[in-house]
Amino acid sequence: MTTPCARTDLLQDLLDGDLDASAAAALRRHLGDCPACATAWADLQRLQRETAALPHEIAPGRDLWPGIAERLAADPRPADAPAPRERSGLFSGASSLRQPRRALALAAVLVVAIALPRLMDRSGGTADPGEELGDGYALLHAASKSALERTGEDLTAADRDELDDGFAAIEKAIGETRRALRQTRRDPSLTPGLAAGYHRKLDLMQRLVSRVAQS
Amino acid sequence: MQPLPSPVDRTDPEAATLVARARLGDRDAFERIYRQHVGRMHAVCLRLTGDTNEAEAAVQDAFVRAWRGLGGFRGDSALGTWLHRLAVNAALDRRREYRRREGRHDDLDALEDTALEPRLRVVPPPPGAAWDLERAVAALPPGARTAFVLFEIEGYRLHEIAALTGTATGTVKAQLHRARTRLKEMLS
Repeated sequence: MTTPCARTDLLQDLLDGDLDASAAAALRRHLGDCPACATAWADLQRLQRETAALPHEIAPGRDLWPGIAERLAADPRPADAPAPRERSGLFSGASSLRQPRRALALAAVLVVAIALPRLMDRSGGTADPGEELGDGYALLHAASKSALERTGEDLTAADRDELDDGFAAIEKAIGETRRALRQTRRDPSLTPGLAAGYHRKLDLMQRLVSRVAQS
Repeated sequence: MQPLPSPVDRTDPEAATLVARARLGDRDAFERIYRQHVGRMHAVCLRLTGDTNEAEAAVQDAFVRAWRGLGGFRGDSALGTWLHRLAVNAALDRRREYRRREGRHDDLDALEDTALEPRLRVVPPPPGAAWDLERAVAALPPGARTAFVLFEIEGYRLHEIAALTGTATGTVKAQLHRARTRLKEMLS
């Protein structure tokens, strides 16, 4: 076993380039005469080499995007973003959409009408009713949105703006409720409010699809 | 030393396009940003927290913050650098929050501390990685681990780490030295 050396403590300063030139040169000369410092220096260099070889990317064990996407649902557009030239809401780009498919739209309304009450029933008594409700809502929202996009070109620009504003207000309320749920450790008394927010948006979608489909 | 360059930087026209689209609320574009950067962000969060669940939560926090902050992202730094900083902050915030809940004040100044918080789990070995070193880094006291990960692996400067952690530069340096000494002992 080598004898400890007080100068071993300076080796990290040498490694980081924190010693002035003369002190660094003296310590390097010392390394040739001191087994303890020479061993410590070799260990530091080995550690630095192994650290440099560590991967800089490690994929998570599961896809984190669904959880992120759910949280983004409360923020339809990044905050403080410059106002887009065209509305970024549900009907942006609607002029390029295909011809209306009213039968499909009506089918989507039926799906939502059937699924929503079941979803609301199921949301009670779970470990995280907000999360479950959110997952179910996301599926219904996607189905409704798809149907709406097919019928959207039948709407006037004023209708689209009004609906986009309505959706934005509802999304904001949903987001605030979800944040409150998280902050209050999933206070179950908040769940009905969250469900009501989702319900309002789906209801608005259903009424819109029905109106367009019947026009 | 600067934080490592990102695979996608501001000179990348695809990255610029994705950022522009995401700023207008395009979630598909934002998902592509996520896919491109999640590995690097997860790596730093995993090493800073020493816990898979906390790391995943921190990555999610960071991307939600990125989404909310995209409007303020001016492209002065590379997208990857900006996201990386968000990930570091999210991981440090997670640990502060954990310790606050546990009634323990943050330990970044403390040179003596328990190796791992009781709840935290040892980091699993990433495929093909140097397992021994990963385990050893995960077992460092939190302050030493933070200093080592950010300085030696991520390339931050001491004063940058001091600013991120709210500690003095001298404290970060002492933590870094402590980390290397511990690692040498564990690996030898």
